Amino acid sequence: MEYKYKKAMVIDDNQIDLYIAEMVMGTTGFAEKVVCVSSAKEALAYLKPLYENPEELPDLIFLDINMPEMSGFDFLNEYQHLPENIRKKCIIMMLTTSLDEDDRTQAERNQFVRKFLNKPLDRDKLASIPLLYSTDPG
Amino acid sequence: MHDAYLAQVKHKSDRLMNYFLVSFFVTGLLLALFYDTWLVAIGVGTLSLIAYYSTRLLLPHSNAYQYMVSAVFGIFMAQFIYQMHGLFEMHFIAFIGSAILVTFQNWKLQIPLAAVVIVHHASFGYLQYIGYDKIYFTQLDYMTLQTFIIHGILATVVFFICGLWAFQLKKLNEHQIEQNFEMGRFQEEQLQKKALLKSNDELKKSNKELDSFVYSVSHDLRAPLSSMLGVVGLCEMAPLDPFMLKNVTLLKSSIKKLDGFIMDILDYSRNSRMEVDRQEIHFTDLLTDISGNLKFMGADDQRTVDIRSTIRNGVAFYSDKSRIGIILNNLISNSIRYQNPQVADPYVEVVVEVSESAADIRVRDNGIGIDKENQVKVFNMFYRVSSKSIGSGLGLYIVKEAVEKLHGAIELRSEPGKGCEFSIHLPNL
Amino acid sequence: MKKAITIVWLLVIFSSMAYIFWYTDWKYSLPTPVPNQYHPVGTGTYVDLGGKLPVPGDKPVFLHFFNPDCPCSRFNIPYFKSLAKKYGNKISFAIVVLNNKAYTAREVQSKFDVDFPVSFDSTIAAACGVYSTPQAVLLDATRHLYYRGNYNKSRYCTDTRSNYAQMAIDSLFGNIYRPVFAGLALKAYGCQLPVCTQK
Repeated sequence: MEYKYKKAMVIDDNQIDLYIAEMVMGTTGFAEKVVCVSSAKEALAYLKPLYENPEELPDLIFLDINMPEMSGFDFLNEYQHLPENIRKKCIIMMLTTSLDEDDRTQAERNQFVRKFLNKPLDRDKLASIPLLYSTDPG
Repeated sequence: MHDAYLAQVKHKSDRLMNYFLVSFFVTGLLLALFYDTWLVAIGVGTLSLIAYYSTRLLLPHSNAYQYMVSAVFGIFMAQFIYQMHGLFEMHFIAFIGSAILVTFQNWKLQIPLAAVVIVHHASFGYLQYIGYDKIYFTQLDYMTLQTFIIHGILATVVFFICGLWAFQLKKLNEHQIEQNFEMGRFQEEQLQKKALLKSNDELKKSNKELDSFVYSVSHDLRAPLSSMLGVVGLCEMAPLDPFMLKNVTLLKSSIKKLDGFIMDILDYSRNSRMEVDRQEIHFTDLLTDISGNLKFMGADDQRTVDIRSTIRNGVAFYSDKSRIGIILNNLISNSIRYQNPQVADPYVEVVVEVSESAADIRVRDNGIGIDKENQVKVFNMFYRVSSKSIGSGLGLYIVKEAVEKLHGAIELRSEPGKGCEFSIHLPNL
Repeated sequence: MKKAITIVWLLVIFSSMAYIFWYTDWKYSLPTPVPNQYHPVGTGTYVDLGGKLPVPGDKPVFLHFFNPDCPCSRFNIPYFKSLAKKYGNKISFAIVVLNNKAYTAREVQSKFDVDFPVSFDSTIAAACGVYSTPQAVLLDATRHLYYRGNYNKSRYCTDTRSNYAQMAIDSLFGNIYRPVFAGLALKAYGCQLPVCTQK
């Protein structure tokens, strides 16, 4: 099977939403491997050691905004302190049910967020994501 | 305020008068020592005091007694002159009296005093002049007319100046009071303004809190719904028998309905409480966003409705972006929902014409339309035309509320089977 | 109504005041009652001072009859002073005090701020025909009575046109033998002797 991306990461505190994302991405051939983490903390813990092993970094990161303890935006604040090779490799998509205009503008203004999507994730929405190349191929 | 001050002046002056009058009486007694003029000292002095105090007692509400004081000063002067048998210096009592009267801040009080002095001098001067010597009041050397006139002028000058000062004092104090009053009022206004601003701030704060409450609630309600839709989507991706497929479809439509309802409530809340946020409206961008959002809308068995738009804007248009977004979103989603299955190409057309004063928006579709009876009622809260209606019943109500908030007007023209045309007129803010 | 009462009442008061003034002045205008045993002394009579007053013999004598308890006398003090000053070198002035109380000459002199001889002998008054104070008696150089009368036309008057004593002096030096004075000059007013009952 031809996968669009090698690895995708989903950061969401909702177990069902993680399950949905994993299933959809798997069955539509979106990504070969899907890493699910239920908090931004876990995500950072996963990413940080991988700067030595950039091959294992996810191509895309789907980030939920509304999470307890550390929100999606908090994650982005921490993200900018990560080593450059990580930041260059991962493309971040914001995923949320929020209808708040401010959330949307804030997300779109952030330099790391490439797109803003509304939950739930489904086949059509994934299809609408063009094949994005990271800024640092390879 | 002014009356209280006048009462104060009166009270103070009256007290002073008591002291002065007693002093004058005592002076009379002291003067009697010189030439044994006891009868005059006690008699006239007492009578003067009686005159004053009885006027005060009999007519407490008028200021006649103040004029009486003035006259009494004149009489005391005459009394002292008489007691000293013409000692000219006693005339100064008149000037003392004149000065004392300034405390009443009423220039008119100088008049009785001046009158007593003038009449007294004039009449006896005249008697002296004509040589009438039966009365020995005049104990001075013959007073020439010239002397008399000079004395008269000087005395008048003193009375005039005292009267002037009394008048000025009154005016000054009145001015002072008025200023104080103004100042007091100004301060009160300031306090009121402050209180108003404070309550305004508090209102804004509670408004904001309510807003965030509504957002939080709606968000927490919508999160599980989106999960449910996601799971339903997963089910749909798997091969299903028709029974299961039907069930899943029904489930999906219910969930969407609920979600739509929650979003309507959010729109309603935002519209009713938020202030109009004046921005420049770019209709093209707005419609693109809306189209993007609504692409995934609609029941699956429905065809995609073509969203067309014609925008003619010569001038910049200013209004509230989110509300216009809501208006267009609700109307267009209605057109999508209530499309006519009989028609080959369902569409909804948005025509916008912008002028200096207003924007005229027309949303026209070829959907199932609304019959005359219902055309009025559709704008009511929670009104749904039939049980088949998919919406919450809030959509058009919110549209109308938003239009009214922007000081605009909305009109509906429709024919069942042909479609609907909504005409909206929004002033350029 | 109250106003009417007040006005009437005030009129009563003012009338009373006017009456008091008038009454007092009327009293002042009354002449002194002539005492019972009065022995009139006409002008020109020789008055024998007989050593009762140490006055030099060549100048006219001006006798000022004075009673410290008499208000009219007291009123007269400044006027007498000015007279004395004016004619002090031409006339011999002397003061006769007619009073029962004990005064010293010094005291009297200090009242007038003068150093004229002072006598307390009331027989001089009888000798001159004086029965009230203040009175002026002018004796010419030969001790004949030239003028006996009031200083002015009424008790408290200072009218220069009726300064009788002054006029008498002027007449004397004008060598008018027998001056004629109107009744006002001669009809004595002032305090009775020795104790003033009618002030």
